[in-house]
Parts: sequence; structure tokens; C-alpha cells
Amino acid sequence: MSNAYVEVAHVEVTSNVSAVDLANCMSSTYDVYYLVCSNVTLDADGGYKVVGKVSNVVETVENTAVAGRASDLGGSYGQYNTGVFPTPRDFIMIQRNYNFQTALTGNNSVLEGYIFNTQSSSHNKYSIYNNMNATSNTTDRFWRYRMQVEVDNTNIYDGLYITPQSATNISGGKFTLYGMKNN
Amino acid sequence: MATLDEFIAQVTADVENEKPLMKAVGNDVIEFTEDDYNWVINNRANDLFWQQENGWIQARQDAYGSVESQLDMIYWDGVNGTTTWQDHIAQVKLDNPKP
Repeated sequence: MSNAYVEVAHVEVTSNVSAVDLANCMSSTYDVYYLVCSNVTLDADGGYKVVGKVSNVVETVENTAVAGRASDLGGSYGQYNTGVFPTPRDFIMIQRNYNFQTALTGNNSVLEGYIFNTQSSSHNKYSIYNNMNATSNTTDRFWRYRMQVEVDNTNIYDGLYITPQSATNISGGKFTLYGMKNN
Repeated sequence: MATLDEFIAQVTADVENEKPLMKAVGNDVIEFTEDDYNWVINNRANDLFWQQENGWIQARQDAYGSVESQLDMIYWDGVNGTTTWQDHIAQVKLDNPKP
């Protein structure tokens, strides 16, 4: 089927791990990838990030640019740029700090979106994605981020690496990467 | 105020105590490689350093509230002769001090 999404990697975390390694799952077979991270829980508050792998080594660049907008049904919303995101800014996607603790009831989060140019050696890497957090920790708040990221290099990705931003472990969640053919 | 090198030393000790750290690869759960350990130490230390240096900015931005809600406060302060908005901003700054 043309323009079909094809699952190329899937990891389900059911007990503590410090990283999810989607290794050697990206290739020239696909032009655009779509990542879905659902119901992710961490063993402490804080976000998690997705970083590209080059020749099966996690990237260490610090020149990611970020832009986006956050909406919060609990009250505030705002626009974000690079300044509010931690360094090293090596991520292609990030789920910003919020409540992911397993102790919190009602946690339900999704990070999903596209990653472009992964196989190009002449274009920077881009992503556009949504973060959604619904949690009942305070007053049934619902947060949504619509973000865009540019990683300012032309390395060819062959995988992704997902780690907590400040917590130690990912304690649960499903991580699925799809490839999308262009014909 | 800790330096980045001091955070790296602290995190290195923490990770040493936490070993073995595991990662999920497909259906397997395996121990970190040396590269994984080095990467996570650098990542955590940088995050701690960033939180120390810039966390107060993010906390203030989250606490100020939307521009619309602040404009509403300012409007009603003008109507009622109150200082709700000024008090709110002052409290946010007080709660999230610049280090």
C-alpha cells in the first residue's frame, strides 16, 4: 500500500529500565518516521527525551532548536523557544517536565509525531509532534504541547534512544516507531 | 552553586550506586554498555546544572499564567483600585527566587 505506515520497532516497558533503545531500526527504506510513546510513566517527576542514534551511538550534539506552544486547561499557556529547554539540547523530541510518577493516579500521556530527513546527509533533522498529558494529580488538568524541533546536523539516523530527563527509570509505556514510504 | 564538573562527579557516584542500569531493546532487557553509562551521566549532570541555572525562569513562566488572565487582572485592578496583578507577580517572583 502506498503511503502506508509500517511498524519498524516496538518496545513495551513493564518494569524499570533506564533507557529504551530503538537500535538499528531506521534505514533508507523509509523517508519519514512516526513515533508514538503512550502511557509513559517514570519513577520520579520529570520529562523524557528522544535522541537520534548515528551508527548505533547516541548523539551528543547540543544545537537543537525548539519552538512550540503549550496549552493547559488548568490555567496557563505559553509559547516556548529554545530558552526554556534544558541542555544538552540533543533531542529530536522531548516530553517536558510534568507528572509522570507511577504514584499519581490517572496519569495518561502521549508523545507522538513525525521525524523528517533521518536518512539525508544534506539536510538537518526535523520533528513536529504533540505532547499530551492528562493527570488527576491536582485538578484534572490537561496539558498539550505542539512542538517543532530542528537538530542542526546532517548525520544519518539509524535508531532512536529514549531516556528520562531527570528521573532514573522509565517504569512503563509503549514505544512504537513507524516508517512511511513515499510511493 | 555547583559547577558542571561537580554535578558530573555527583552523578557518576550516583550511577555507580545504581548499577546495573538496564535498557529495553526489542523484547530484551540488557545492561547498559559503557557508552550508555557515559551518556546518561552527561545527560543527568547537564540537566541538574540547567535546573540550577535556569529552573527559576521556567518556574516563573509557568506560574505567571496566561497573558489574557494577567490583562484581566490589570483591567479589574484599574476598575477597583486594587493591586491583584502586582501582588500576583510579586508572589511568583518571591516563590521562585533568582539564585
